[in-house]
Amino acid sequence: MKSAKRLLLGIGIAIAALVVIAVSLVFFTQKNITLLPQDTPQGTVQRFLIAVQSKDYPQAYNYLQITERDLKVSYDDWVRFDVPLMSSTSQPAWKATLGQTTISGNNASVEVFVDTFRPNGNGPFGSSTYTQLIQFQLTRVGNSWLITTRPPLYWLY
Amino acid sequence: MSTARRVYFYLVTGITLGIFAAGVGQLLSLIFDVTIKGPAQVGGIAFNQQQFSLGLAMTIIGGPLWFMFWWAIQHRVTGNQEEIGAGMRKFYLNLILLVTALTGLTTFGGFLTWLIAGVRLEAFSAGGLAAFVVAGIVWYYHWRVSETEGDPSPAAKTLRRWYVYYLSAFGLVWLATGPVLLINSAVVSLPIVGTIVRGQFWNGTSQTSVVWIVLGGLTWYFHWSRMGRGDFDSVLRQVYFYLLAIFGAAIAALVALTVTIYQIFIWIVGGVTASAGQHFQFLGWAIPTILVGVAIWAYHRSLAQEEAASTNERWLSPQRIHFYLMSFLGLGTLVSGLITIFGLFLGFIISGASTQIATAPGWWRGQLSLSLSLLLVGTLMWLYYWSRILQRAVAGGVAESRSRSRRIYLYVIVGVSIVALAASLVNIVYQLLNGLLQSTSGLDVLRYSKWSLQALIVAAPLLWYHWQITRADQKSGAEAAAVHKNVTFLAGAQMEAVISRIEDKLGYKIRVLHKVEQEGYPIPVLSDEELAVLTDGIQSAPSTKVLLVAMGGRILVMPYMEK
Repeated sequence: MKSAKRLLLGIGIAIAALVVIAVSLVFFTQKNITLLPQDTPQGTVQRFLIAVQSKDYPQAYNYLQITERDLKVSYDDWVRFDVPLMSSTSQPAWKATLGQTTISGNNASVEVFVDTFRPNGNGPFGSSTYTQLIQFQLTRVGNSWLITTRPPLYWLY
Repeated sequence: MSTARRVYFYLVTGITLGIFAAGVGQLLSLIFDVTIKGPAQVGGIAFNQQQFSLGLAMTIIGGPLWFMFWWAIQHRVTGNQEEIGAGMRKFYLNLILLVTALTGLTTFGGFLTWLIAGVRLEAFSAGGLAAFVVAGIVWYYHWRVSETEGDPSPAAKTLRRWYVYYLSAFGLVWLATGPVLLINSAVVSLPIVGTIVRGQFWNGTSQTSVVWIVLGGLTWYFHWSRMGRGDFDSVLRQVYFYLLAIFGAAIAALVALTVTIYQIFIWIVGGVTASAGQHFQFLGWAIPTILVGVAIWAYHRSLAQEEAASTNERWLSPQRIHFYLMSFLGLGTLVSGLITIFGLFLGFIISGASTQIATAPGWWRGQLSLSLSLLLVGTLMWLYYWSRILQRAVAGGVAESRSRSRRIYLYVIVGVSIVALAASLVNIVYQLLNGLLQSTSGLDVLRYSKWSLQALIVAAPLLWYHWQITRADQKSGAEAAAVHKNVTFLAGAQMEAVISRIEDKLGYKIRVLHKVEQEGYPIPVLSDEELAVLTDGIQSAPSTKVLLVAMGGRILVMPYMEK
């Protein structure tokens, strides 16, 4: 039993150290997000996601150019069909990390890894973050890039 | 401790451990996220703050509570063998071990896959690695506690076995599935003639399969070869042997073999339009499945036979169930093959006599290939296992004939055959009468009765054969209901062999109580004659309740009644 007690003490010390490191990281590594250049596909996707995160859907819609039967999808239709309805308390925290970007002429593809934070995710010992890969397709319009595929936003639930 | 107090302590400890572990996991995930993955382009700060807040709250509340409750439990358990061996404690420890082992394996699998996939930082799952670290630490600590204190009671041993054999099975499944997926992935990416685009071999499937092989192999080795070593006197071990490893591997290999034979036959009879390369691509999973299945089957079977030679008859029940299950599976496959081939004959008759021009040419190819593959596999399998069953029946006498597995096997086959016969006859008579009354052509009557005729032709001999065996068993006394008495045996240590012989002779289970002071009680040695006298004494006792007491190398029979 003595070795088990020593092990327990070691675990306790390690956890105390872990708390100190986590506190330091949260308070000393907070930096404002650097905005990417607006005239790049990554810059458009980043601004679109920032607008979605701050629930500024009219602003987010400005980065979209989704067409159906050669007609641009209206703002009302986009909000009605693609933006999930939710209460302010139920929305999970999420963050997006850019992956690879592929540019081919006037078209581009941007990979985005979205981490969603779900405290009750996978049981007491499982991971509480859920990572998924989302592909954005964009097209060049003048000096800027616009998103042409309907970005899935179901992970906002 | 009282049972209610134990339940309270372990339940609260388990819940607080869950909160504590989840909190530490959040903090670790945050650290991995910031240090390995780097900053996110959208929402990173809010995400980290939420994770930190929840993680810290769960750690500082769950941690002290868990320490307090666990300390209280350990204080009461230290040096107390009754508490150490308590079922509730062992259930708690083994449940924690099982959950953390499974979480650790799956999350570490994800981390290893990420590593061998090329370490793309943006795809790194901090939560997965954190969950692995936390689950690993929790598992290791509880494993150390469990190993240090041992398993001093039968309940403790049983609960530990559940954990060991569950994890052994989990590791074996990963270890067996990995090579099949890997080889199939390689075959699919081969440059087959006619392919214009093909995928890369080193994809998600092949990466996952490599991880499964490594982790599955380690898990299986650790639990099976290390933790389960020498655990011969265990029913769970036999269940693992016969019903999971041997039966599971045999089913996987037989399905793959049947598909292989079917595809070869259909290729031979010209029922395939694709190129040979495309058609035989299925061998990429079928051959490895057969090889892996046979390897697992052969290894476990030889090990089971070795162990059976060193143990007693008590553990033969899972083996018997396995034989009857395999025989049933073989018979089912054989019957399916027979029904299909009789359908083919009837189809030829109908199509030969029919004036219709709409019959597709070569309609018989698929049916012929299917029936031949089913017949080949089913016949060999059924003959092998049924001959083993017949040998057992001869060697085991009435006790074997009385076994529940045999009774269920025979009555299920007889019952299903009777139902199939009755349903077939009803349809055939109905079609005949209807045809006569409505002047339907004989060919149409035959067409509408085709499936019933197929079933009738197969079910009739099946019923006849198994009915003969059932009758023979009945005549030998297999159905004679043994008078079940309520027998309780107050036994000493290492009397499993004696208990097993008494149960076999009586034909039913007895209740066993273990003496607390087990030292100094000689194990009774019973000759066959003495065993017969003992069981006769039990059966002829003037009460339905009998207490057996092992004392001085003898077993006393004490009929009693409750007042």
